[in-house]
Amino acid sequence: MSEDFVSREQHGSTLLLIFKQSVSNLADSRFLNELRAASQVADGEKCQAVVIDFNQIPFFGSSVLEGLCSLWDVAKQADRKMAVCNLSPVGLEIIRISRFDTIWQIFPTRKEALEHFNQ
Amino acid sequence: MPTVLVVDDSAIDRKLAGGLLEKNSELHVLYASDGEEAMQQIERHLPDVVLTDLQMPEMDGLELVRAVKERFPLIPVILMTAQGSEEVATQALQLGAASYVPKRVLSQDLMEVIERVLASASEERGFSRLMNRIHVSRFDFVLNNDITLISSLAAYLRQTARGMNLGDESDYLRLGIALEEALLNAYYHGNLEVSSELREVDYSAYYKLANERAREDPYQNRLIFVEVEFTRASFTCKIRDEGPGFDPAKLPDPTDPMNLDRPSGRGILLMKTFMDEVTYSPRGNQVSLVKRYEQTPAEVLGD
Repeated sequence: MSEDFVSREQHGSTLLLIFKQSVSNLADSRFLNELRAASQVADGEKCQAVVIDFNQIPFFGSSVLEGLCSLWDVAKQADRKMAVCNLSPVGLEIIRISRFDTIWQIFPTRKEALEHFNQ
Repeated sequence: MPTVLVVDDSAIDRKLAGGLLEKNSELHVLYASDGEEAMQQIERHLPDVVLTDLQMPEMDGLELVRAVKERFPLIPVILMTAQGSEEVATQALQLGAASYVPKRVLSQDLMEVIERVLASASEERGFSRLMNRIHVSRFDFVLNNDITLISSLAAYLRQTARGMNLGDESDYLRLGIALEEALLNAYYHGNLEVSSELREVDYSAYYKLANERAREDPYQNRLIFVEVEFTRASFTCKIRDEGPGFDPAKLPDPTDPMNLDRPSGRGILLMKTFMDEVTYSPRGNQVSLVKRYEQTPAEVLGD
């Protein structure tokens, strides 16, 4: 599976998805395809949580939010938790505007996010 | 007479670099022994260029590059690198350092690097001062149905706002996001007539249909017209597509907890949050975005 937009790491029962800088300028289905593939990996590894590391990407748009929604749909069905971390100031603003802070936990750093789920 | 600030925690290395520069009677040289002292010197004297070592206590060269870039973006920073610090030097260049010169070739290369960076910085400062004197800037773009142009246009207008000093970095990003969302709507929903409802059901089918229509008549020849005006008080942008239009009132409210999971409507939400006004023509194929700015004097180095 290509990793043009998202790279993956396994940390215990947590799947970590790290966004690349290319995510800022996307507007097509490749990003969504990579997230779908990541969901399948999470299913296969029986992950209990997915953490999205925004990698301080300076900005992103509705396409990314859409991708996260689709990831969340699958996570909910698998009873998997989801959280985001490492948001830039504008990135955090976007997550809050979209009210996703009401459904996903937000951690300032990757370390804190992973420690939370791997306790 | 240009001023160079030499920053190094080693007194010997400071004297070495400074001595090379002082041989040029047209340069004025200042010194600092670490990053924090350098920032104080910069605030006091506004040098034309900073020449810094990488490895320093308290605030190292990397942190100094970051701090100078943030507070004094028009002052270039040149790194002096020791052997084995190439990776850190690369990081510093990515953070915005103007150039580097290895310490082992300081006597041969330093003056040439300083002169080159000074010339480039002088041009950039002149450009920045000029951009701050723009009162009105208007653009008219006609985009064909090429999605790669959308992020390029948003980036170009972000740069224009930055050049005119209309806000801070977050403001420019917000402007870019609102523009991209409006342009993507014009592209997908306007010209290609691909419905959000399809995306809710099957996103692959949505993008597949978009790709097909981008190569078919009548969709492929449709254009997106973009009129932009920047003034010191506002940014106004009108984006018109050649599709049949739509009724924005029919979009679901994405902030309604019932709709959090639905993919539609977030683009318009971002537009409405980041702009002061978002209005649609009665037909729905033209959107006007307005952002207002407080009129404060531009702060430009040397002005």
